[in-house]
Amino acid sequence: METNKIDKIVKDSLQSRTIQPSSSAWERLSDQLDVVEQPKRINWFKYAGYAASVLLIISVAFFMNSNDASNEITPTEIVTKPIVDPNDLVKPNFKSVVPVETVIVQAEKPTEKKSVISNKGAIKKSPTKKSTDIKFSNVVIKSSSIVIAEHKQVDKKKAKQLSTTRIKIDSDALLLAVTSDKEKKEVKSTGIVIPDASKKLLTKSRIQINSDALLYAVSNPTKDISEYYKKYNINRDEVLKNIQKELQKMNLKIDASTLLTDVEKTIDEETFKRSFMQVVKGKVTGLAAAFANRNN
Amino acid sequence: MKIIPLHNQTNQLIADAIQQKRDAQQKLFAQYSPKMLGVCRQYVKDIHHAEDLMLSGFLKVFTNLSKFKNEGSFEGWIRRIMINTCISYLRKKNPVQLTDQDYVFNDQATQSLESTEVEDIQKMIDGLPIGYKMVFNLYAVEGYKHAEIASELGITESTSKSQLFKARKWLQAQYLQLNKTANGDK
Repeated sequence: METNKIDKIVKDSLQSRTIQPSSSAWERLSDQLDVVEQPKRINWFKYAGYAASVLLIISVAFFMNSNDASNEITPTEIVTKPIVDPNDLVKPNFKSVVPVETVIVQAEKPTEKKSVISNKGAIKKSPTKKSTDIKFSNVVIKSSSIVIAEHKQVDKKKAKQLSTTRIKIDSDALLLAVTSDKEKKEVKSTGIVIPDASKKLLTKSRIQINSDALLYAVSNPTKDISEYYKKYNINRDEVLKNIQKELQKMNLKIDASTLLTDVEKTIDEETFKRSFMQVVKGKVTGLAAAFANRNN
Repeated sequence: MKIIPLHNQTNQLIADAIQQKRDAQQKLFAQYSPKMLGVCRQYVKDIHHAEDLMLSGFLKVFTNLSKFKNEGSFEGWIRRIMINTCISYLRKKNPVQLTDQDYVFNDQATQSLESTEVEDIQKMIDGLPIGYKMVFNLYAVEGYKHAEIASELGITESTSKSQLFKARKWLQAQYLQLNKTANGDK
C-alpha cells in the first residue's frame, strides 16, 4: 500500500506538470519541418518525372510498333505475266484511262483513206462532205492523251490550226477506231468521223472522248478493211446503201452499219476475193431467217 | 456542452496540420508542448536537452500525423511518442544500468513525501539511475504494465519488477537524505 502511495504522489506531481518551452522552440521546430517537407516535395517531383518518362517510353514504343505494323510486308502474290505476242502489245489497255482524255491533233501528210467507225464500233459513212470530214489515220496514244498524227482531207490551213490547238470533241460524236500496227507505242486508227455539230468544237482546245467507246474501239481491233476496199475497188458507202436497201426490202429494222461492221470483223482476204457482197447478203438472209424463226 | 466543440476544433487542427498548414501545427504545438516538455523532463535532467527531445518528438508527431486514427486521445498519442523518443535517446546514450543496491523502505519517509514540492520530487527522480528512472516513470507515472515496460526497454518482466522495487527504495533513501539536510541532521 505504501508503495502505491509513493507512486500515486509522484504521478500526481509529475503527470499534470507543465513546463513552458522557450520562445524559440516553435521556430526551431518550424525550421525542422521545412527541412523535412522539402525532400518530400522533391521526391514527389522525382516520382512524377519517373512516371512521365515511363509513359513517354511506352508511347514511343507503341508508336514505333504501330508504324512497324503498318509497314509490315504483306504476303506477296506471285504474278505471272502471260506470254504476249509482241504484235499484241500494240493494243493499249484503256481500262485505267480516265473518262476524259486529251487529244492533240497534229496535221501531217495526208495518207490513204481509212474506214470510218462509229462510237458503237460500227463503220459508218460520213454524213458530211468529204472535204469537211476529219479522218485520222494515225493516233499516237500516250497515257491519257492521244496525239493524232495525221489528218486527212482537211485543207492545210485548217490542219495547221488543228495541229496547234487542242480539240474538244463530244464523246458521243467522236468515232475513233484504232488498228494494230507494228510499232508498239503508236496506234493507228482507221478513221474518225466527226459530225457537223462537233466540227465547231474542233476550234476548242480539248477533246473529250468517251472512254467506253475508245476502249471498245481499241479492244476490238478491226482488220484493215480499208485496204481490201481499196484493193478490190469497192466503195464502202455503196455497200452500206445496198445493205440498207436489202434490209428495207426485208422490212428489217437493223442498223446497216452494225451489220457491215460485223461482216468486216469476220471477213478475210479470201472471202473478199470470193464475193464480198455474197457474204453480206448471206448475213442479211441469215438474220431475216432468224427473225422469222423468232416470230414464229 | 463545450467538450464537443473543443474536440471538433482539435480534429480540425489535426486535419489542417496533416495538410502541412503551419498555423494549425503551431496551434497544436502551443496546446500540447508544455505538457510534453514536462514528460520529457521526467527522463532528462537538462531542460534544454529535454526541449530538444520534445521538438524531436513533435517533429515525429507532425510528420506522422496522418497515421493518427482517432482511436484514442490525441494527447495520449503524442505523449507516447514523447516517451518513446526519450527512451530511445536514453538507451542510445547510456544502456540501461541495472542496479542491485538494496535500500530499506521507511514508512516515515513516505508520509513526509506528500508535502514535498514537485521540483523536489523531480530532483529525486533525476537522481535515480537511468534504468530505475525509466522503469519507475513508465510504471508509476505513465501506467505501463511490466510486460509493456519489458518490451519497451528490452528486458524481462522480472527485471522490470525488481528495478521498480529498487527505484522505490532509492527514492525513499533520497528523500530521507533530503529531509536530514533540510532539518540540519547529520
